[in-house]
Amino acid sequence: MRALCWEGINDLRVQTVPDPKILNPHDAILRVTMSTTCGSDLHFIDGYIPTMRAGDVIGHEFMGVIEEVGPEVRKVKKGDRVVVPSFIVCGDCWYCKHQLYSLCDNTNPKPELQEPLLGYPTAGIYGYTHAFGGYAGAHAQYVRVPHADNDCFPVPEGVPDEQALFLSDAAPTGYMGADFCDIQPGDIVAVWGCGGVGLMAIQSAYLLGAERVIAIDRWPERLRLAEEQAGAETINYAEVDSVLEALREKTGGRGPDACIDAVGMEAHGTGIDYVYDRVKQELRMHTDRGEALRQAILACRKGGTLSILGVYGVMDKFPIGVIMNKGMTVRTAQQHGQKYLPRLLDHAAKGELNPSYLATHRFSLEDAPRAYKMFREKTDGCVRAVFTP
Amino acid sequence: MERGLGWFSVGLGLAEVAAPGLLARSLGMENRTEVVRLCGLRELCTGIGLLAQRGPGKPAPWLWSRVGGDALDLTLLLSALTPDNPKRRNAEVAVALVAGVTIVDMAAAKRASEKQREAAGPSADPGEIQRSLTILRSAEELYELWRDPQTMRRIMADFAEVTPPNGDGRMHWRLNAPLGRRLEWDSQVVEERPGEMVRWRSSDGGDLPMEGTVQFRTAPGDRGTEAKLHVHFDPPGGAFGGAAAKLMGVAPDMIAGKALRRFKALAETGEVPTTYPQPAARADKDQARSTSERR
Repeated sequence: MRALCWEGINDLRVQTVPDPKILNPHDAILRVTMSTTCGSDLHFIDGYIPTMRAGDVIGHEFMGVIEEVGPEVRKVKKGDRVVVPSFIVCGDCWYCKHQLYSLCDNTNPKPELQEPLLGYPTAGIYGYTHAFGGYAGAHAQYVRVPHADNDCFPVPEGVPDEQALFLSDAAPTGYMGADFCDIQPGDIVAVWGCGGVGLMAIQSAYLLGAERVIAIDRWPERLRLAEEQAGAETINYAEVDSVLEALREKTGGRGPDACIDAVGMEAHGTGIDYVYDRVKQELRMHTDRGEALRQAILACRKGGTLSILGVYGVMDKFPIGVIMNKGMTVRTAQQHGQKYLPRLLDHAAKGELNPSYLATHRFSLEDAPRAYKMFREKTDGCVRAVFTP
Repeated sequence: MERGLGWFSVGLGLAEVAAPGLLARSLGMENRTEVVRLCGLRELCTGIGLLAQRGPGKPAPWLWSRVGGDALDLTLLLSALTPDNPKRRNAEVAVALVAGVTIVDMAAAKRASEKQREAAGPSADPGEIQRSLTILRSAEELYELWRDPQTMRRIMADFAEVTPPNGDGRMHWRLNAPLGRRLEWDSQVVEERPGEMVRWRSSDGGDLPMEGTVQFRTAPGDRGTEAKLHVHFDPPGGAFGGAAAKLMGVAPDMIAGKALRRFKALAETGEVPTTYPQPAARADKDQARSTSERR
């Protein structure tokens, strides 16, 4: 079959690779109908996150039709149209039982790659480095889905593919970010980053009862989507003197009640902090650019909640003292997709959550390398590039 | 003693850095002023390193570095013992002093190295491993699973081929070691208490004597059972367990950790997670047959 493979830093190529096979009794094989780029892919494509090997198939946000199931699969069957969250979970360990799905104990066959850094292994991810299990990704014609009963979610009739696709990663991540904020009536939520995850976080915050949502970014097309599709007020950080002041004024001097970081380790910024981070990153002295996260910490009201969705490694100059002195709550995780998917599918079926506007650009799988370049550089207002194999 | 030497290094280092000219002149080595300053920097670093280390045996590398520094100093000073050096007497005294300090340093460094080895404990001997994991099943279920004939084969699959026990309860192990060698041995259960523990030992005459125990204890709250795996390898030629790692080509604690994780996955989900083989644009053993079957 054809698949998009990582061949080196910033080197993606479509190759012919063997088809996936059923390996374990709870596996299924999916024929991929649609998959999409995600911002977090960029972190390993350009080498900030290690343990990729040349030839790895990538892609972790996808949906498709079940082609084959293993002998122990009970709930889904051949022919089902399903969406699959990016994290592979067993459903049986303590973490899965407590709905902390991205912390699953039993889906990383290479725990020794994570233990030195994290102390403990976490769940495997499709197409996202060998430290996260080395599973072949879904920018391909077929993909093997372990634990199909837990991880395949049938899509209701009437919800088209473009809507269901983003329930694999962007929507559950954004929704979890808003869920972490414990939104109360009257709350104002600020969201940094108007990419796929940020836009979903904005919509989710409204679904969960936020009074107002303020979105921060610099790209005019993304700010426009935040305003027109997601209903947020916007701040262009490249055009205001101080994001902190702007947020303070918009919230009667209190600061936002909750701040969601949907930017992550490759933040852009202006000012000396950004330059510091950039230099250290280039020298590989630390992995992160923390501009957005630091702003979120400073802007949040006292006693407020910081919800971190951005993917990070290690950073300098992390204002832990600000968090402590302001008595903030920090909640963060990789997406616990399986927890949120049932209600997200419900919202989608009722027309309350339609992420299809994220699919700004379509490509065939063969054009995927070009698509990723466009996605990275945000050319032509690209928010997400969607592939049909 | 170690701290004393640390302060001594700092003091000497400061003197050499602050007043290298004065020192050099007093030894008749005026043309070596810069060298003295550099020695001072080295002494300062060593001294700070020594003072900063806590814990049994931790200063050892810094003490050995002092010994190295003493050797350098002696060499430098010996070069000042030329007949035409008016300050030759001073240089001789300095040589004697440094020689004396060297002896003290060596004794301290040796002692610290021994303390370091002792403090590392059983886990420093890589032939002896212990790992624990908490598994969301009862102790009785885990005991039954451990004694299931297929289990050892499945959880050791990364490490060795284990043939399930035949009539007399003995399991056969086969490990492909580096350099084309193959290690084989038999093992059998020598002690067990249902729901609590199992102990097994390799039979005489095998290539790699080993002994293992697994213990099960209820974990607090709703967490299930704490499983503790203890394995000991005793390679022929004995001495350090590092020989076991060399013989097998893989670290024993990796084996134990992996085996326990696989046992946990088997117990909780009924399968062991795997990504072998799977699609990739690589010609290596991770790949399935390279024909596209489903086009």
